[in-house]
Amino acid sequence: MSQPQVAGSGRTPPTRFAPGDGLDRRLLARAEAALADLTPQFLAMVRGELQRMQQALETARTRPESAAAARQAIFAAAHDLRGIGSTFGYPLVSRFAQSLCHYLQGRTVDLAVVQAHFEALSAVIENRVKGGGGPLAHRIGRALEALVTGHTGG
Amino acid sequence: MSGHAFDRLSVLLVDDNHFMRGVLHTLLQALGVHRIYDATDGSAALKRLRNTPVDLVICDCETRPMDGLALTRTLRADTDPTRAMLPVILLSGHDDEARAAAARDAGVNEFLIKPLTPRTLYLRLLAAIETPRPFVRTASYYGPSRRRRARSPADGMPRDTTRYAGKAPVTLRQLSDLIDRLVS
Repeated sequence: MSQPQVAGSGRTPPTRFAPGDGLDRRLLARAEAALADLTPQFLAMVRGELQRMQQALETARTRPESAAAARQAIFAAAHDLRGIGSTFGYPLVSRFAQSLCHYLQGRTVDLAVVQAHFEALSAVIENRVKGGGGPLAHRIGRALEALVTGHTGG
Repeated sequence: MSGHAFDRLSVLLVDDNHFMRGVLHTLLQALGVHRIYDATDGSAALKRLRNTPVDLVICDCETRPMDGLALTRTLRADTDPTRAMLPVILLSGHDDEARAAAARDAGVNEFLIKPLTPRTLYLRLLAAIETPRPFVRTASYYGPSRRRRARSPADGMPRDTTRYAGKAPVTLRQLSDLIDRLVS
């Protein structure tokens, strides 16, 4: 196996920046405040994704010929929610969306399981359940994940 | 207090999610970055980089059609040394070892596992800019050294893996599952 050679005799990527000595708390606080200011847009975005999910669910139920596209649309919405929920203090959104993504990657899809995830996500947003949500939310999460595990086999 | 000069930094954001790009934009602006450019996937990013050189790329792992790993590999193979050594921070929604290894082998400088927070973004920016890993070349790899730095700003981050002597790393998720199995 060849030993790593430092390219260009120890070159590091060009940088024009002087070294700092850690985090600037003022900058960090400013970034956290800026993120908090985006919460209304976050909630509107989640509602938009849930609306798309609901429409796709309806399509999957009523038009079997479009079921594959509908499933893809639901996955795309869940994928987007999974990536952003925790950033805004809604880890349950990320958790339930992750469970739904996992489920949709399985071979078969029972729309009742998708509907259960949709309802759970809607409840979190409409009730503004931030953080872990307590034992009940945890039980719901476990139940959804058990449904998914039961269908996908792990 | 530190002497960071993010106001001189130019960043290219690559994400196909409009809302996530907006969040990153807002966070970077709040951290003092003013020159921020957008692209929706790796191909669009490469086109953008031909006309707009930047200091850093922040890219989501799963952009389509060209994803973050392919973008990083293309950059590392570029004949222009500035582009070949361009720092890349890769955002990923997955914390599995395989993805982290793929990112490392593609030549990613920093790997940021979602959830994105102001603190994690700030730490990764510092790590990429202030304590860059030296670039190395082997027969099959060109990119930042895949060995961990002795010390970096990101070292202060909470770990999401637990390592026991002589064993593979265990994620908290795996640990939780293990506990569940033991309890039941």
